[in-house]
Amino acid sequence: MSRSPYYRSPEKVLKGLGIDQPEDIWIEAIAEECDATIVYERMEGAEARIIGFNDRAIITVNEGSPLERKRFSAGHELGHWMRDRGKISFTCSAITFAGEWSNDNAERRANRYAAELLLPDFMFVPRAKGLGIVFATVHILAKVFQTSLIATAIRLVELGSCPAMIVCSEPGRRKWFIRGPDVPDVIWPRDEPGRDTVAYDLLKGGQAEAGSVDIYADQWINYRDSRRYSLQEDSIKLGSTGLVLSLLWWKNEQQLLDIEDED
Amino acid sequence: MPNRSRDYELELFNVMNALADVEWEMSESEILDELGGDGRDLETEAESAREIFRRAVKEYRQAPLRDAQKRYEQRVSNICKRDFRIPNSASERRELLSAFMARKPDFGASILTAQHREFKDLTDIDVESYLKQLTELGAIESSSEKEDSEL
Repeated sequence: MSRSPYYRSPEKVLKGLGIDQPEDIWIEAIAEECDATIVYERMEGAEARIIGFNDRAIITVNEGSPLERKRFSAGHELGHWMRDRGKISFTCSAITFAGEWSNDNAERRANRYAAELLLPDFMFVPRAKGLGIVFATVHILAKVFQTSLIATAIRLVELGSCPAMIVCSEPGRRKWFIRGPDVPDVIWPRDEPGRDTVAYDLLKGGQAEAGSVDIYADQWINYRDSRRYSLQEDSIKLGSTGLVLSLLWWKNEQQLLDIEDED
Repeated sequence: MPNRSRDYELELFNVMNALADVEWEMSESEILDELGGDGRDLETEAESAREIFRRAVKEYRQAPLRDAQKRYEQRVSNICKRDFRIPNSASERRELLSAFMARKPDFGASILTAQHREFKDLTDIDVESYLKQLTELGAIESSSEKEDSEL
């Protein structure tokens, strides 16, 4: 897909403004530098929208949302502006930010842009180094970067120190998932988490204690002999969306090593 | 009072240059002796100097960021102060937005498919906000501009 001639990668935008610390990621100034002005207004049924005309855009963000959501919404709309300038007016809801991470469409691309802008590799990697792929880590990093839980969790899977996967489930099916770079492509999460998983209980309306649990890999993974291995699962409910987010982490990497040997 | 006004900047520049020349000609051990002579901890002094350099470099590199923040604040302030002269009644505002969307079908379609399935689903607040923002962006001519251009 061809990019807008106005497109600048998040890293290029940040470096061009001399930003190298999370506390300096001033989203309003960044958007203004890209010819988009962020305004905060009360919005009903939407989290943010963008209207563009010629070389300028106005991004409206729901003033009633938490700070992390507002920052991500603004970054998401800026992603539309950078990538889809010229066909511009988008209105995006909370479910867009939670649900659009795997299909290759304008919403996913805008989500990716926001994640890379607010949680850039060169700042995130050193801070995530050596930390477990669990929601406790996500909370710490989300506070540092003032970002939403989902975006931070995805970046932890992509850029963290251990092989991991993030799976978003809704009752009856898997909504999306993302593998970390060290997880082979042959590894796929099951369409529905197994009965022994925390996610299964949460999807059935149950409660779960915070923290990760050791679980047979076949409860999550669709790959032969998975029963012989284990992985760590940390699952949480995503507010009122009905979605459950699960971080899966191979603390013991034997399964991945064995798959590598098969190749 | 002297007749001729003094150039303090130039004098300071000359003094600093002279000091720099002296330092330049000193050996490393002479500099270390001088710094340590009055009981100062050299490591602390060095760290303090590094911190000053770091801050100066950061200030310099982030000048565009501060400029962008200033522009942002100015723009938002202008938007808040602006008299948009949009119609007073909700129905007239709807008519105006509807007419705009009819002229720009791509724009209208994107508003309606993105969040609101039908035009009537837009709240009065949405309509007012869209009109103001479209005016701000120059997509809709404000009444005052129209009047001015008609004169």
